[in-house]
Amino acid sequence: MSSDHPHDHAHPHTHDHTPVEELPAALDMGVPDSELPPSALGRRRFLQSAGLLGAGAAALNVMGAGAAAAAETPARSARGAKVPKNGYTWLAGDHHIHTQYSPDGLYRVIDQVQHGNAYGMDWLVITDHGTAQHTRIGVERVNPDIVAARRAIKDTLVFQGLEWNIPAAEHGTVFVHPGRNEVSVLKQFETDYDGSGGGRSAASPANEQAARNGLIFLQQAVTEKRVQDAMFFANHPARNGIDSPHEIRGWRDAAPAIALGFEGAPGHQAAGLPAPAGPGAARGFYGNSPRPDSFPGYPPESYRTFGGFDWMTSTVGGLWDSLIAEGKPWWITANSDSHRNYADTAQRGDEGFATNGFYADPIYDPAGPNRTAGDYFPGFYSRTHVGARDFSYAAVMAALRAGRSWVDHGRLLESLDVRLRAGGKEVPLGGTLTAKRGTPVTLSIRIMPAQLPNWSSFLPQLKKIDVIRGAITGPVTDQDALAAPNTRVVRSYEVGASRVITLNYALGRLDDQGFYVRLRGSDAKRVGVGLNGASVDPSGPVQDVVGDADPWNDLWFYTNPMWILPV
Amino acid sequence: MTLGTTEASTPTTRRALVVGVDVLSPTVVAADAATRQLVRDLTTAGIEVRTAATHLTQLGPRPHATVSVELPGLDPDHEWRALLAATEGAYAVWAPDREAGADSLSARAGALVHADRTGGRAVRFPGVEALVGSLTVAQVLAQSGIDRVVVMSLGDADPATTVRTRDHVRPVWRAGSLELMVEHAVDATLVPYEIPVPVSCCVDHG
Repeated sequence: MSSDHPHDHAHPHTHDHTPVEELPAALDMGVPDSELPPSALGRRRFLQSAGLLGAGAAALNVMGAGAAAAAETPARSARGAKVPKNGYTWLAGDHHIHTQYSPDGLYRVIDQVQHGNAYGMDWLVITDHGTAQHTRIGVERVNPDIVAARRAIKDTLVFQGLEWNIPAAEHGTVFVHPGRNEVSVLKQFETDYDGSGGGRSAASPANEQAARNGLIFLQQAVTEKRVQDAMFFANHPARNGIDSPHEIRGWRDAAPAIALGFEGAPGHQAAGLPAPAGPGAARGFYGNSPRPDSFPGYPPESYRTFGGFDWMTSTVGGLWDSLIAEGKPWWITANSDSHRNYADTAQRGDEGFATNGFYADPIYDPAGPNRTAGDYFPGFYSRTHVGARDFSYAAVMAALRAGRSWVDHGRLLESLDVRLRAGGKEVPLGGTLTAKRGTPVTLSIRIMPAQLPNWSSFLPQLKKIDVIRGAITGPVTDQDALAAPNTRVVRSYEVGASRVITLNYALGRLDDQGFYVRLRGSDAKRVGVGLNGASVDPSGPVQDVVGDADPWNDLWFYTNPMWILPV
Repeated sequence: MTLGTTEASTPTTRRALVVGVDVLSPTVVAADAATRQLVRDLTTAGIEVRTAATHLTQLGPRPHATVSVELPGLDPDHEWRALLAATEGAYAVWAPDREAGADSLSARAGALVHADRTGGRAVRFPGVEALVGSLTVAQVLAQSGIDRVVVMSLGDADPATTVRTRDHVRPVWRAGSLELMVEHAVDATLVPYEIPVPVSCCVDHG
């Protein structure tokens, strides 16, 4: 496609207003120190020392004209990021989806988009594996299919991306804003930085650098306006123990506007259904053990899922919390990783991937449902919800970048709106609030549990909500740090069936250090003492049993964090 | 523990030659294959192999796995020569006061922890042949050199519980003890932590 947007889009949006994330001047690195009033400068220094700056602010700053416009004057932007009067438009999506252009894939783009749309997905990212064939053929050939899907299914946004073999590490989603260069930028990125080529796969310092260079390439492609936007999320990060903590920190620090987070929950959620009715494997296909290139500091249990979530995210006080406690914005998502879906009746049209770069369109499989497939269609089980300012590609990407997002499984929640409040100000998920020391801080929670049956045709029951809190401890000296010893579950609410749950949790007065909070909740069907003990997480997700993990009887939601800092 | 040979804990055993062999195995599966081949070749040459293990290392040109073998024979010079013959072309071979090859750091590290019983993933150990099909934890302990069966992040396994071995049992030495890590599985059974064939990325999951 040659234009920046599909012009027959059902939802009105314009080219001339990129949604602007307004920032307090102290947070906006587009405003130089010399132009800040002394009080704001002091605040910036504090935030920098806490590791919180260069974070969301820097991320926005490189994203073209938007942030610069927001920075017009300190007085204007000092009003801060306001939640829109009518709230955000919450859009559900999935950034990890394969098609017939992947060597282990099957479906057409339209199969995935049509199903995703039917299952309530507002945005999807097509992410076929980086391979020699994809670099040469698939990355170009999939584009007309994506453009056609955008036209055919008007109320689902379809991004083109790819599943990057991160040099020296796992896979990750890379995707761009639609536009005339979407294919050429992805193709060049894949050619120059995918681990499938150029001896870039093995764990080595040189290849770790190649990964960071790839992210910097994307950042430059945005700065130079070759694409309007681009972003990266690491996929199934703990599956093989090969995304070391220093690599994760390195990605984020190399390109804070591009490297935004990782899958809090991997796909393949049907993989643990017991045989013979199901695949009988590990949930998420997380069944491996350490390999030569695994980070030696990861314990054996890190290779498994807990309540369907990756160990880095599911462990209270674990690796994700250690990043958040540093002040690093690093967001979680939940996706399908759909390749071949559980109990589906499609099979490949041929086995021509190696030579053609794609499989022929799928055909009906008279042998019956595929019970060894471990995936679900997008939206069937895993969802990533983003608080967007409008229904547009740019707004979805802006919300993802801001961390204004939460995830759930099995449609556990209908909606969620969480805000951190202090001194008459508030921030949504992903936000950083500042207030005077001693200011009372409140967490305002408004959750609507599921009101309709889910795609397994039962009404899920939210039973508990946990508030997780940790101190802001600033940058780490050991880039391989993977624990946040101060973080714990500070409050649990038992909840029952209701239309809306409204909670206001008093977090006490703001201390000298500042802190963050995040939420988690579940159907409470499978809970136990967390890996860091009952004083940290008395009733958290339990390790999934390999070969016996029914994902529908173990449902969780997680939100991204919010920070508050003293000024 | 019940071992095929009780001298495993005698001073004689401690003097057994433990040799580290590094063929730069890129994966654990490849290291297992290298171990089996080495044990076969040494056995054919008339050399007894008491235990054999693999080790993960990030020393050397790239992360890889090494092999180590414990040779209880009485003629270390003969064993060393047999070993060199069996591992011709190896990246490195190491034994106390002897080494061959380019860079023996990895091979040495594996051999030292194997000799001390402080590390190493055992591929060959007393009683390994008996660990097939399903057995109780008590039977695993009675019929092999495994000293402990530990449920991951929980603790010692109930001796009455069934372990489905999947014919693939790889205990590790830790502080002198050979420990098998297991995890809960379907039908109230336990399975070893390590699956026989790792799940690859980018391949069909069935």
